[in-house]
Amino acid sequence: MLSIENIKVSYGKAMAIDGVSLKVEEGELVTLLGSNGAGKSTLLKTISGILKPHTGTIRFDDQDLHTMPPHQIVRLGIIQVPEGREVFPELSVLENLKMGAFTRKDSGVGKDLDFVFELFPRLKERRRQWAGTLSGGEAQMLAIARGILSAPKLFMLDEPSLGLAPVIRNDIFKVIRQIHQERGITILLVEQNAKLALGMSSRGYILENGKVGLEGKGADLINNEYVKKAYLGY
Amino acid sequence: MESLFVQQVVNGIIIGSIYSLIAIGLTMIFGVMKICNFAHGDYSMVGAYAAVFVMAWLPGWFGWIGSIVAAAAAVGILGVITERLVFRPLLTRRTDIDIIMVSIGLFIVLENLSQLVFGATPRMLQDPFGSATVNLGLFSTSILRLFCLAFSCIAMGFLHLFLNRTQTGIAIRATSQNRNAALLMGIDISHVYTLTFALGAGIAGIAGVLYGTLFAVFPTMGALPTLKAFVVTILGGMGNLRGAVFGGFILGVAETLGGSYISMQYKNSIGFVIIILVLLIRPNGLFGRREGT
Repeated sequence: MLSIENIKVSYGKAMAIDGVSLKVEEGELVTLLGSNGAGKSTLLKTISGILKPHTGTIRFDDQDLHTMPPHQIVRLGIIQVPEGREVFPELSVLENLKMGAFTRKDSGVGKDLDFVFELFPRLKERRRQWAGTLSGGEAQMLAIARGILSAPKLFMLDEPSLGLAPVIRNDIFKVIRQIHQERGITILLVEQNAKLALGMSSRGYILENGKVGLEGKGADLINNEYVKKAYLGY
Repeated sequence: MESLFVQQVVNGIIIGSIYSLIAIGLTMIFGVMKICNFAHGDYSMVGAYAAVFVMAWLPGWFGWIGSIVAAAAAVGILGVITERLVFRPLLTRRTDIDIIMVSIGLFIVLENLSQLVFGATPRMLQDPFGSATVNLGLFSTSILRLFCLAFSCIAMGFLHLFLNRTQTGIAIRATSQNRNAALLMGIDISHVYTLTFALGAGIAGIAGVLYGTLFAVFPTMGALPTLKAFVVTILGGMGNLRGAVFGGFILGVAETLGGSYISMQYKNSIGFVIIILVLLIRPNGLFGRREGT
């Protein structure tokens, strides 16, 4: 489905991604691990077309993404929930969700709206409120719900549990697993919380200093000695 | 004494509504593209000249309304042209100061070009109501001024509906609040930029017809409205539409009251006194958003 071949991305002279290759097959849930500055968010931004690689290719099915502007990439169903939620603070919750469905002309939007309100009843209660007034957890729910409204084929979530209380974090993970399993949406998940993320992943990649340090099945990575020491803390 | 006060407040509201119209476009363009356009008032000047031509062969109130529509369309197109040719090339590798300098250049070019084409002699737009006035007890005003207020309010009302009720309008607001997130929604940012300039300039064109009808039409008529629109924009918070609407009315009323109770000569400086006070007390404007949201 998604296939990245040896891409390099830099900010000015600083190389952020130095030759990464990565694959996501249809129906998979793939986790991307790595410490701060390893290049995880840069990689997602490059897939979404906000940053452009200077070498390498990104292909989605049989389309070249690395030459495509962001708004067309979204139309292919490659949807990103960015790090730090990035909701529109002075749009209402409902308007934020409508922006999620911006590219859609199909009749399924209303149904999807019902679906996310069922997933996150809190959002339904607050649908007329400005998104800027939501708590961190609610804003994350809104960011995910907004992504679902975009009808993703490949759903990329950048650190959805960052800065959330454990209870809310667990809720968020439950929802991710639910949309993966019940809706069959392919997911590329960037996470700091290695144990939770790898536990539900089919495969994982570990990014270190802009390169893929390690890759493997989720269960294998959890039991890997290096991963245990560096990311699981034991 | 009391009726003078009411009279001046009404006059202030009428002129303030035109300030609001000009400032709305300015603040919208700033909000979406982070461009401070010092040529914005010249869009009004061009709109006023469009009205001069329309009313030359279509007199009466029919011509007046026709010229408002024509000005909105012509200046909207001018806005798109300046966005594409002047501002767009600067957006990728720009600093704010570059854009300000270029917009001042645009302002000089537009003013001199219109002086070259139309001449420096001020032209009057004919009053379609033949200077008829109404007396409403506490104050009296010309029918023309009431219609100017009505048209300003109608234009603002339509803009409000567009920005709040249509998908495209919400996308414009979304882009001004978070450009990156807007990209991730699949919003075509370049399309939003073009549309924002068309709208902002078109509304300034309407304001130019109203302003030109109340005063006169001449090549440098855009300079003062530009400065006042900046006062209004800073007063209401840069990029804040509601702030621009209220800010325009506040400035209009403050000016006319200051003009009649303090001194007519200082009328135009009152806005700048207000701006200094606002910047000292509330640097983000009366309706400004907090930084970092």
